[in-house]
Amino acid sequence: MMTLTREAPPYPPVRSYVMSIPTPTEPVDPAATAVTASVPVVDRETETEDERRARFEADALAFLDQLYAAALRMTRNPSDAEDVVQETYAKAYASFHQFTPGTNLKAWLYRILTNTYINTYRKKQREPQISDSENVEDWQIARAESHTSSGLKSAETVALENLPDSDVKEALQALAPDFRLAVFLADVEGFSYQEIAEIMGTPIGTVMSRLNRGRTQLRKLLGDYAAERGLLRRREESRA
Amino acid sequence: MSEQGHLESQDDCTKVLTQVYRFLDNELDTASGDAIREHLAACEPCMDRFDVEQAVKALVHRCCGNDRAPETLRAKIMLQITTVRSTTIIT
Repeated sequence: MMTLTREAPPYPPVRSYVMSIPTPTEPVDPAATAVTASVPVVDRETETEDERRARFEADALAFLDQLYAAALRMTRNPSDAEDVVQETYAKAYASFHQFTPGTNLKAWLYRILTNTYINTYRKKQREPQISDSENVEDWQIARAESHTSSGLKSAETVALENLPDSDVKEALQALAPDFRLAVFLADVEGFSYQEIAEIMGTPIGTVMSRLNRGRTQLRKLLGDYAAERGLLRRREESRA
Repeated sequence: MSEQGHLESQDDCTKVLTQVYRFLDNELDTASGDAIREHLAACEPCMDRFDVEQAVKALVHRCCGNDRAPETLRAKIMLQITTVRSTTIIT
């Protein structure tokens, strides 16, 4: 007979998150919620290898497509992306017994993915490193421009929305790696600044700077593509 | 409108545009968010700017995250974790 000192809760107990999401309006990721909600009470001391593997397969492998998409954005080629993801899962599995169930598994996996990419592949790829200083001059210039330009903004929005998916991917790929990753983590994955800071191992101020500069460049690139496609007239037609 | 009022409005725009990404990313507290919403509703240039930034964010979200991992990759990972014993590795 079971003796219960207290009633089992009808829903999973509230678990502490390593990284908090500060805003209640943050879009909820269904995959993350499903995984968190399905985590049973795990005794990692007595868990067998098979049980741990099953838990890893159910929880961590659920993020395979997302991690692969992230790796594709990082490496810009499918073969390297596969290698990075495979190495990430090998490392993640090897230290999975150290991961606290119910904390943010997705962010934990992304941190391993990012470290793997930075430590192994980025060195190999030798991408030109665009300076990543903390000043926000670009942003201030863009801001000044936006307020003095001739009211074509609505046209700009419409034009950007009509761009094909391939242009958007190409524009993101054209950003410097740190800007690209920050924008990806914020816009595709919906991570908070605090989470991105922990994943990328940088202060929040650096995250904000990378987002500002990455998005400013992205918007300019997308505007150029829209102009090339005849969706948007350039502000100055001097090149025509 | 007095000159003072005009300057105040310019300052508001500058402040709002400085915070536009944090607003878009839900990183502002409720009061700051409300102040920005109020300003955007009354200021067309700032609203247009916000619209563009929102459109770019939505485009990236829509276009850049929907790749599917090849089935062979899943198989490789499964093979790997069934052959590797769990050990302490500092990542």
